[in-house]
Amino acid sequence: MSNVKGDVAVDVAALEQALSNAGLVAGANLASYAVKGAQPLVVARPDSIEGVSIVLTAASRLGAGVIPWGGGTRMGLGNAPNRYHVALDMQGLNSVVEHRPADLTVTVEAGCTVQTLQDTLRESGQYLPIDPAMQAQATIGGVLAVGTGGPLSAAFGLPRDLVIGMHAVLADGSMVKNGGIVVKNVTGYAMDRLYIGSMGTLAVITEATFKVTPLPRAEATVSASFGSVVDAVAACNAVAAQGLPLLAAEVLNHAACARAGLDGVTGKYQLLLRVAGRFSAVTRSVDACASACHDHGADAVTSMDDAASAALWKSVANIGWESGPPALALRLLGTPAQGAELMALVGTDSDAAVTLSATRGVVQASWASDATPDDVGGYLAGLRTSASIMEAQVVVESQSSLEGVDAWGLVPDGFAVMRQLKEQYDPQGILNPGRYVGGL
Amino acid sequence: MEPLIKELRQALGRRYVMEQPEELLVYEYDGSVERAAPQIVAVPADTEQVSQVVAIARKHCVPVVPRGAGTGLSGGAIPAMGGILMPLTRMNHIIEIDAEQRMALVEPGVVNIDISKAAEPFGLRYAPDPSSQKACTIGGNVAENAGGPHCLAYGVTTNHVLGMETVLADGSVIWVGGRQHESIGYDLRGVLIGSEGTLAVTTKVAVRLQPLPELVTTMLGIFQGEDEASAAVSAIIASGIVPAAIEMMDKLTIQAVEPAIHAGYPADAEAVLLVEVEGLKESVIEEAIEVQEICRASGATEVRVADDPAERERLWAGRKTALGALGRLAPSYYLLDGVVPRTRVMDALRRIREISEEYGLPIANVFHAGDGNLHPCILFDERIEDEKRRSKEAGGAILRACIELGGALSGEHGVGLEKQEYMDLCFTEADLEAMARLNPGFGSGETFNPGKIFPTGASCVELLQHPAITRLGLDAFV
Repeated sequence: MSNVKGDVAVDVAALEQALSNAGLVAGANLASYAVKGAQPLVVARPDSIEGVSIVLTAASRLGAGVIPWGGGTRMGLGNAPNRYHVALDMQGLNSVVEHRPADLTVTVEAGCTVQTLQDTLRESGQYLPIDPAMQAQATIGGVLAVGTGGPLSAAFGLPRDLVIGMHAVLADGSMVKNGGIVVKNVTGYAMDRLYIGSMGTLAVITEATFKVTPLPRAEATVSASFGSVVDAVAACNAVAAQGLPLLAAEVLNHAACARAGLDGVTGKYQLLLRVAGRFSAVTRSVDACASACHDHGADAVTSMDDAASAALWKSVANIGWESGPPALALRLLGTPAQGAELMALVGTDSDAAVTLSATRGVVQASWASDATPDDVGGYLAGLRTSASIMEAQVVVESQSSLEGVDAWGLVPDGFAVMRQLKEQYDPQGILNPGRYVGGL
Repeated sequence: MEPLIKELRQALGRRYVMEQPEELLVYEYDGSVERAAPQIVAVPADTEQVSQVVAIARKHCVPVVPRGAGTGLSGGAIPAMGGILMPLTRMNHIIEIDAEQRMALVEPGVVNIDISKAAEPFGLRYAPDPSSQKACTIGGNVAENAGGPHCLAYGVTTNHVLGMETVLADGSVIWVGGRQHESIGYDLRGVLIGSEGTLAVTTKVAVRLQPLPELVTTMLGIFQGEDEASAAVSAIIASGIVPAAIEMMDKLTIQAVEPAIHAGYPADAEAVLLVEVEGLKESVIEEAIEVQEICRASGATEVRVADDPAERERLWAGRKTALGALGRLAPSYYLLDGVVPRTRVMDALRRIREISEEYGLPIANVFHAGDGNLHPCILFDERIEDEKRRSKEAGGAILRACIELGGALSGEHGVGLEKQEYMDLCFTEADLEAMARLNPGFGSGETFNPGKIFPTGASCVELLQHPAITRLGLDAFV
C-alpha cells in the first residue's frame, strides 16, 4: 500500500517481479521520489523505450499509479497525486541520439538534460532556443511534459513549436511515434501536440526531434529602469513593432533584479531587451531599443554585450530557482495586453521575485521559504478573484503542499474533450493520477 | 433526404442549401486528382449556422465535409463518402486587427493573402504563404497545417495560430487556445491544426502577425549542375544564414519555363536557385553578399540580385509560373509533396530520375530546397490508360524513396485521399491506432470528413487534369 490516502492496493511483489527487467532500482531512496508528500512503492529507471513500455504494461495490468520523473525540477507543479506506486525515472534514457548539423535538426532522448543537449549543439555552432530554469537538471522530456516557455519564447514560441517528431509510450505500453526528422511534415495527426504540455497524463514522452537554430554571431541586452510597468511594456511594444531581432523581453521587479544580480536599477521595474544577430544589426538594435526606452520615460538605460548579456539571461531564466524549486511559485497567464496589469497584481508590495514576459502576457512570481505570504491559500484565492475578471489564470508552479488549494484554478474551455481524450489514452488513469487540471 | 434538406433550409435559408445535380457539380473537385459528389451543399453564414448544420447532420447520420476555397492538393475537401459539403466561404470577415498585440481575429473563409493586406497598413503581415495564397482560405490552412516557400525561416501554420473557435460534432462551440500565448490543459489547438477537417470545424481563427521586413533581397543563381546548386544550399545553411526562402528548379522545369516567359535562363542551365533574405537592412545587405559569394564559389555561372518589389517579382516569375509552363509539356500531371532531410535532397533527385526512366515518364522538380520539401511533377497523358497507371505507380515509388531517405509522405499538402494508402510506409499499426483514438476523444464519430488520412485498403485515386486547376491557373499550387 502506498502512503497516498485512499490509494488502491497494489501487489508490490508482483510489481517488482514485472519490473525486474525494466530497470527496477533495488533499495531506491523512495523519499527522494516523493511528490507532495506521497511516496512510491518502487522506482524503475529503464534505459530503453522498450523498458518504459514494460513498466507501463505492468502498471496497466496491476492498476499501479505511475509518475514519470525527469530531473525532478518541476515536481511541485500540480496537485498531489491520488495514486502513486511507481516512480518512472526517465534519466536512464539520456543520450543525444543524433545531431544533424547540416539539417539543423537533433533527436534526443527524454531523459537528457537541457544543458547536455545545448553543450552538444554548441560544438556545431547551434542551439535549441528553449531556456527553462535549472537547465543542468531539467530534462527534455520534463520540459515538453510541462510545455511552458522561458524568456526565449518571445522569439521562438513555446517548446512545442520546435518539435518535429516524437516517440512516446502510451499508458497501455504501446510504443508510438509521429512526425519524423524533416522540418516540414503534415503526414498524419500531430500527436506530439497532444502529449506536449499534458504533464505526462496521456503518454510518457521517450524521444523528441527538434528544429535547431544557428547561434547568433553577436548579442546584446538593453536594460532600462521604469517607474511603472505600463511604461516598460509600452517601450517593449514600440521595439517589437519595429521588427528588430528581439530574442526576449522581460520586465523584472526589484526582488527579481536582485536575484538576477542586476546593477544600476533605479526605478521600480526593469525592462530587459535581448537582441541578437549580425554585429551591425545588433548595434543598430541596441540604439533603437535605448531610444524607445527613453521615449517611454526610462530614467536609466544601459546595455551589455555578448558574454555579459548571455550570462544575464541565464540568471533571468533562473530567477527564484537558483538553488532549486522555490517554496512557492505562481504563473499568471493572460493576454499580452494584460501583462502589465497581471504583473501589478503580484509585483507591487510583495516579497516575490516577479518577471513578466512582456510580449506574451505571462507573469512568473516566486517566493523564498522565509518570504511566502502568511496565508498562502487566502492570498491565492484573492489573486484568482482579481485574475478571473480578466479571464486570466493563476497556476501554482511550485509548492511543497497546500491542503485544499487547487493548483490550476478553473478548468479551461474544451475540458469535456480533454476528459474524453484522457479516457482514450489512459482509460485506467494510471499516468500522473490527479495531478493535472481538473483531475485529468 | 427531404426532411434533412428541409431542416437545413430552415436553418440557413433556401438559397444556401443546394441539392440539384448541376449545382453540386462544381463541388465535386478540389485541387487534387480526386473527385466525388456531395448530396447536399450547405453554406453557413456564421458559427451558429455551422453548429446547426452539424447538429442536423448528426441527427440524420450524414457526414459533413468542411471546405474552404477548394485549392487543397490531397483531396481533403472531397466528400469521399458523400453527405453534406459545407463551404465556409461566406464566413469571410476580418473581425479584428490588433496592431499593438500583433494579432488578427478572422473568420475561416478569409483568403490567406487578405490577412496580410489588411495588416499591411499597420506594418504587419501573416507569415505563412502557401503558393495558392491568393485563393486559399485560412480555415483550409488550419485544416492542412499549410506551409509555403517562406516557411523555412518562419515555420508553418501551427506556429502562427494562437487559437480557434471550433464546432464539435455534437454542435457545441469551444475555443481552443486563444489570445493568450500560454494556456492550461491539453493543446487541442495543436491537435486540430493539420487534422484535415476530420475532428471539428474551425469557425474563427486568432493568428499572430509579424512586422514587415525592412528590406527584402531576392537572388537568382544559375547553375550548370544540380549538385552545384545543392552544394550552395548546404553552404548557405552551414554559414549560419537562415534565408526566408530557398527554392530550386531543375532542368526540365527550366526548359519548360524559358519558352513560356523568357526569363533569360541559358539553354544549358541545369538548375536555378532562388534565395530570399529579409529583415533589418544591415543584416540583409551582409547576408545577400555572402549568399552571392557562396553561389559563385559553388559554381553559379550567374547570380542576379534584386531588392525592389518589381525586380524581385521578375526573379520569382519563373518559379511562380513553373507549374503552368509544365502544363505545356504534357496534357496531365501528378504533383507530389514528399519531404526529405535537406541533406538528402540530391539523393532524392537521383532516385526520382531513376524512377522517371524506369516508368518512362518525364518528371520535373520545382521545390523548397531549404527544407527538403520536394514537389516532383510527373508528366503524362491521362487519355492513355497505361500512362495513367504508370504515373500512379511512379508516384508511389517516389513516396517510398522519400521514406527510405528518412523523409515523409507530405510536407504541406496533407494526406487526405491521395496518400492514405501509403501511411503504413511510415507508421506502424500502433502509431495509426494512437492517432485514431483522437476521433472518439473529440467525439467526432463519422461526422466530419470520413474516409480520409487512414488507409482503407482500396485506393480510389483517379488521375485527371482537374477543373480546379483550369479555373485557378496552374501556377497557383506549388
